[in-house]
Amino acid sequence: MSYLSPRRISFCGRFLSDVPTRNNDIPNFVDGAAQVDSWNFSGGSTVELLNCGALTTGAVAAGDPAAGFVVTGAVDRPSGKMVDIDPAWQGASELWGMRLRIADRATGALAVEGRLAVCAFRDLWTRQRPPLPNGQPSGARFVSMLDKLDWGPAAEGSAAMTALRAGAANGRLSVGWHTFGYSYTLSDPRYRTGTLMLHLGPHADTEPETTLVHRRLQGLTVGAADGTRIPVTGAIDFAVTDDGSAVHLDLGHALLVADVDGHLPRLADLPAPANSIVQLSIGLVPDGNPPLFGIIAETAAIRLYDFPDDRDWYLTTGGVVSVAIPAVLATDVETRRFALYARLVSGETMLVAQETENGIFCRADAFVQRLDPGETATVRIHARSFGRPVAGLQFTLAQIAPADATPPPAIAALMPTDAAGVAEIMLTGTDPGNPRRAFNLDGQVFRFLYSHKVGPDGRPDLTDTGLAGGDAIIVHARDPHPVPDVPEFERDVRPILAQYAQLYPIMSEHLFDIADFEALSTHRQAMLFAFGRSIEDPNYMPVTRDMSAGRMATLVKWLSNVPLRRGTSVAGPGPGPVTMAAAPENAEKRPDFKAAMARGAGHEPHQPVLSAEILEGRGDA
Amino acid sequence: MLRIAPAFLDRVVAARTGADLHDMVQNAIRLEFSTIPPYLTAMLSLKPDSNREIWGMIHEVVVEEMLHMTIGCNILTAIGGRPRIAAPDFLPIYPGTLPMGIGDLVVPLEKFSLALVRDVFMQIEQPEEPLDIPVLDTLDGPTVTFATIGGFYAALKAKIQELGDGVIVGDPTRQVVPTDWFGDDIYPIASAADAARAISQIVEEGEGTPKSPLDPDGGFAHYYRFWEIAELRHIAANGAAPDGFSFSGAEIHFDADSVWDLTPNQRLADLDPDSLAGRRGSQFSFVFTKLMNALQATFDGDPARFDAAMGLMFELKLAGQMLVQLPAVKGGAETGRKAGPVFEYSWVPR
Repeated sequence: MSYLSPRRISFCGRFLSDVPTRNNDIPNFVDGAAQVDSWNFSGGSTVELLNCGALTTGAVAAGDPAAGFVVTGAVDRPSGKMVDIDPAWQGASELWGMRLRIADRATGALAVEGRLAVCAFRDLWTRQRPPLPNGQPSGARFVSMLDKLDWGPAAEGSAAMTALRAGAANGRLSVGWHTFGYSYTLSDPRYRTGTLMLHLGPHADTEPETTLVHRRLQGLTVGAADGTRIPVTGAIDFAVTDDGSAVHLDLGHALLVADVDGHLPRLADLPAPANSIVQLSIGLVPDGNPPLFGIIAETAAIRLYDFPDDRDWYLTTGGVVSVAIPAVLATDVETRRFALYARLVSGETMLVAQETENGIFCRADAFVQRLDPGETATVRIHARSFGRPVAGLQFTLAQIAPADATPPPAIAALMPTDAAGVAEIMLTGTDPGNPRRAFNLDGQVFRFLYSHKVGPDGRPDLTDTGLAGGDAIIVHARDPHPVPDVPEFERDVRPILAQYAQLYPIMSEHLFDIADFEALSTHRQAMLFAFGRSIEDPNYMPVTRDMSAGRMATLVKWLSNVPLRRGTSVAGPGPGPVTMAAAPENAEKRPDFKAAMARGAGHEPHQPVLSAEILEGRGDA
Repeated sequence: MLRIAPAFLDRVVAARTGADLHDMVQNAIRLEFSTIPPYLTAMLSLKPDSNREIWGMIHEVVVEEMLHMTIGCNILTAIGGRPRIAAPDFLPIYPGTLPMGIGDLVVPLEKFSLALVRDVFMQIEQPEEPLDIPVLDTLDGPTVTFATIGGFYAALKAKIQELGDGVIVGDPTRQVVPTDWFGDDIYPIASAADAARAISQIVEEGEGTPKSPLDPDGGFAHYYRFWEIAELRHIAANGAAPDGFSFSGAEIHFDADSVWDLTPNQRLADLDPDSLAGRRGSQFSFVFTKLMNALQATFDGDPARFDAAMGLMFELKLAGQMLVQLPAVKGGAETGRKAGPVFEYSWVPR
């Protein structure tokens, strides 16, 4: 059942994400361009979990040794990396080369370790209320899977770990991370770190690897009189047990936070008119399917769970909660949409959000793809209705970027979902024709919306599907790059590497100038080592994982034929000139792409907004 | 020259089997490793925009110490032992005596200075005087209060040669031979002769030979490289000089202002956890721990993991470069110094 399972183990702590930022700005890609440096231009992409301790919640009872466990990255391999596919789409940063390790904090003894499937964040939304000393109000969620599990002795004495292991007979675990409170602020001791809630549970054979597809209760956004929008809750993913006796909710990622730590704000402290709401509750849509934003007779409301009133609730529970369902509703929960109720200052109850239409929720697994011409990839869309696989669902795709006539990847005719509720999208890379040559940017990034609903214009309709624009399938189609018979440095190699040297100064600051012939010759072995890795290896170069196969082959061919010089080793790179990553004065004032997207440039849910007019007059008791 | 307690040498001489040598080779591995934190600390303290030649010279020595540690592990594995690297007692305490040392040389983790190079680094690598009384003879003398590391290696080499190829009982698949990184300086230890050759290599790359400052590959041995730094001038061939070399090479530039004023012997406990330096210090110690673990896995039968260890070596330098530029904060106030690299075990970064 995923990390929502009652067998879940939850952790709370922080994470380091040292992402480089020069490659956020397309003009920086131009050869020789004066670089625009934003908040962390000298980053190295490292991701690490910091002091993430287990919570006594879920399957972990007080006294269970698991209460003393921590989750970290690998303790015998290089760190995982966080990577954007391209400056043209920074709304799906991926984790690469990452492992997770659960161990006893005191002794370091292993409970379980596994490889994290490459995954991109989703469900980005503006969840941190002002003030924002960290400079970044958005939070996102990563969902992935651990495989190649290695269970250790520390698991044996823990009831929670024993139960988790029993649920993972297929050798896989489901992982969900909530991330928020990330700091852009150089003067902040938490600079480059964010807050993390991490949940582990069994991973079912039928589940997608990098997303939850159970059921989804849509979020609530309130419109203010001045036209601004006030997010009040994000979407809530949930799973109902087969016997209808309980619902497991990922409420945490749907909650606003008052600060970097994850304390919850009070509804009364939200701007008007959102402060008209005094209590939010999750339940079922009342009989008769009353309209959204209508007043509901208190006797008609079917409430199952009131939002927590404890400011520390998120910190102590991690935000995943299991709620018992009265036996009388056991059948209803399998056929009736879930609902979000608001009790208003006026004392009235309003239906403010509901589950997706017909209880259908669909999502593409592994939706970020890199394609060289002729290369193929398959993206699987998983579809469920009221939590069960739905067959025969036909999807529609529409290209939303780029807006020009650049030849897109070939897409095979879409077939409807099979009995397992899965539809496959078969992609084949084609030559995009180097459309971004002016910026010296390889290929083109295509985004395709998908939905099982079709609008009047024949395009995918996201309304009431729980999907947002950010749920598009993202493809970086790369330009062909013929490999020369005998690559020459100035003609074939330097032009490729000079751009990396320009965009990732960390290389020349701390390693060597990777576009310099002498340095490359000296460190030939180190470069061959890094360019020859599997793309899932944390040592893979380039760390951005954006180099086409032809360019890579050209580099490897040239490096392989450079005479080996004495003193070469990866342990032995000499330094280049270094400048400390002092933030420019205006670093914190630069527009923030991710925050902008969270405010509506791609991730905003397609559902009605609770307007100020509707709430008018209901703010008074 | 590094002086060691005679008991270590006695045990080598008294060994009757390969197993009797396991602890002694383990000590040698610890010793080779123990030079890396002080060298790396000094190297990292050199500001990035200056002193690049000195940086590179120290770095070459660090790489060769990694090679020597690898060779030591291969010898121990070859004679049926198991290197213990990821163990709490593997890491020396700084400031302190190096493994087997008698206490007359206290090695700190400090920022680079010419005095540190001359008084500590050169002392660590100093060759034996050729005219010294041969160490093996001194063993019988009642007045001996110390032996030397050169003597220790000489005795170890002699003992393995004495025990012969029968001492090579280890699983050959556990030999770690990363020629991609070390070229022909690394090779499997498959015979007593291989072991003897490897021990000579360790000594000569550190100290040179009695006749020459050059190591077998034609580069200057560690001692002479540090001497060059201390003199701020390269050694060059000079037919007029008694041994054919003099400090007549190019000048080595040193800008004393371009050295970060690092906290000596930095401990994680001396950095506020919530400070930038505290976080970077924790990250450094975590990467260091990962490096130790990766090396352990490498020598525990997974030689291919050496690549991961090299990747971690790069990460360690990177983490160190980031760390040493940050003010050390303790008790909520900046101490006035920068944070130094933290060579501590830590499996939970904070």
